[in-house]
Amino acid sequence: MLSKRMVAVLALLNGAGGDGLGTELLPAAAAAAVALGVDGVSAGLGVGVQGVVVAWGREAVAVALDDLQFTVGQGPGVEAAAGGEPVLVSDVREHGGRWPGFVPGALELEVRAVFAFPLRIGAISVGVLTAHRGVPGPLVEGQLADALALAEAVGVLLLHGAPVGDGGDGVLLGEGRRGGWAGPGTHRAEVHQATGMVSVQLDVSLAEALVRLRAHAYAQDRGIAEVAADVVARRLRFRDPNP
Amino acid sequence: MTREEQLVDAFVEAADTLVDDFDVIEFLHTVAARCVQLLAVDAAGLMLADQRGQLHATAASTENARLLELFELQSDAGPCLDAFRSGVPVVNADLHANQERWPRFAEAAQATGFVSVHALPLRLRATVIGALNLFCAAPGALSDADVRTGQALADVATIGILAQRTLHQAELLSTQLQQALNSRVTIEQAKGVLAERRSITLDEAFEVLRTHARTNNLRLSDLARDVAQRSNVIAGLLDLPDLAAADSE
Repeated sequence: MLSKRMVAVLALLNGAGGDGLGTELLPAAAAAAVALGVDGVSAGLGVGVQGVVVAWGREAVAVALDDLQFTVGQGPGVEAAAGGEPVLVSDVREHGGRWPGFVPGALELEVRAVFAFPLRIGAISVGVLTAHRGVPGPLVEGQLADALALAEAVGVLLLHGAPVGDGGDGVLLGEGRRGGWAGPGTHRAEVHQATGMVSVQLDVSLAEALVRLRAHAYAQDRGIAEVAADVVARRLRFRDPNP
Repeated sequence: MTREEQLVDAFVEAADTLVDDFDVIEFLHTVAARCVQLLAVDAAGLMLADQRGQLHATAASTENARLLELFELQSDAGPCLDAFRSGVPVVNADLHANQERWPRFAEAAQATGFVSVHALPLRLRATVIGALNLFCAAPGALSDADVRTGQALADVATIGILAQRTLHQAELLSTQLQQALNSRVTIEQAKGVLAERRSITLDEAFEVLRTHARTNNLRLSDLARDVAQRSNVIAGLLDLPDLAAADSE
């Protein structure tokens, strides 16, 4: 189903997250842009320049495009994040009525095609992956499949590779240390079930619950699937140390 | 009701997928249930492939952990993987005879009490998007007629997946598969939330979700999202006594 190029991109991403999100992602990023036939791609937690974690290709444009949407509060990325479905725009010129605040700004950046994919893990909204091109035209079926695979991978990477926030040295605790974020453990139903259970146990969001599961797994030097199995079997309960 | 009448019902159900409140996961559950009703099988389930070719369980005739586990075990080797990759049906596969071919799966399936399995590819022209898995607890081959009916039901499932409406763009197979798979993840998260909240099993949690969605005419995926996120609309608007009580604790 995937193009060979995107398989290579995903292999590159699989190695990332261990030592830093920025540098390792750049070769993957450039390859991704080529595979999708676009000028640039950005991935962010939510919409807006503060949320942009990685941007590549025509980097300045990707960031400016994100910032524009954040400022005017409208655009393909905003809609994708809100609606939970991809928003595919072959030519922004045809959508002046839909996004009057966004389209002129996009045209000024010489962007005509924009494809935004929500990054989700079930009900967890991680952010948005946005691809843009100066030449108008749709993503063809093969490119769309590639983009969806990339969006899924980046979503998992952003959540599983993100710093756990100890407030200290910002160490990244990706599953990358144990065979890559793409390991089979990440996708097991038990991991999702445990996420739900822990979110209730700690009274936190699903995203936070998943982060706490990961942190626990890392601290115990176990895979997340193993920890999830313990939670689901009720052998392990998460308690808030500071209620 | 004769079998022919039941078959007609199954196809009418598929046609009903073109309405606005259609929920793909609920639909796939209906297909799985229909398989058990119409064929000489004891359990059925559907697996869909993600963009990377990994199969994921999406719906089963019985939502219990043991059966779902039999699907998870097929990620490395199993009849569904074979049917998915080859596009050719796997029919009347005796589990004992296939111990070497599918070591972990065959062992677990036999331990659950099954004797033979079948996997029918979910096909759309040249593309295979997943597989329909059928399990039998009694020995004896599935008849040719049953295999043909099973394949027809598999094809019905594929049509249903394609019939999902998306808000702003043309129906493309890739996005629809992604939606279905993500809906399933949301349901798993919601199961966890409910199980913890009400101190019930994950299997029971699924039944609660499903019953509540049906009773209140809600899309299963929408309800699952609200439950998973523990949005306020659940306790108040939907008047679910146990959840409301838990919220006020």
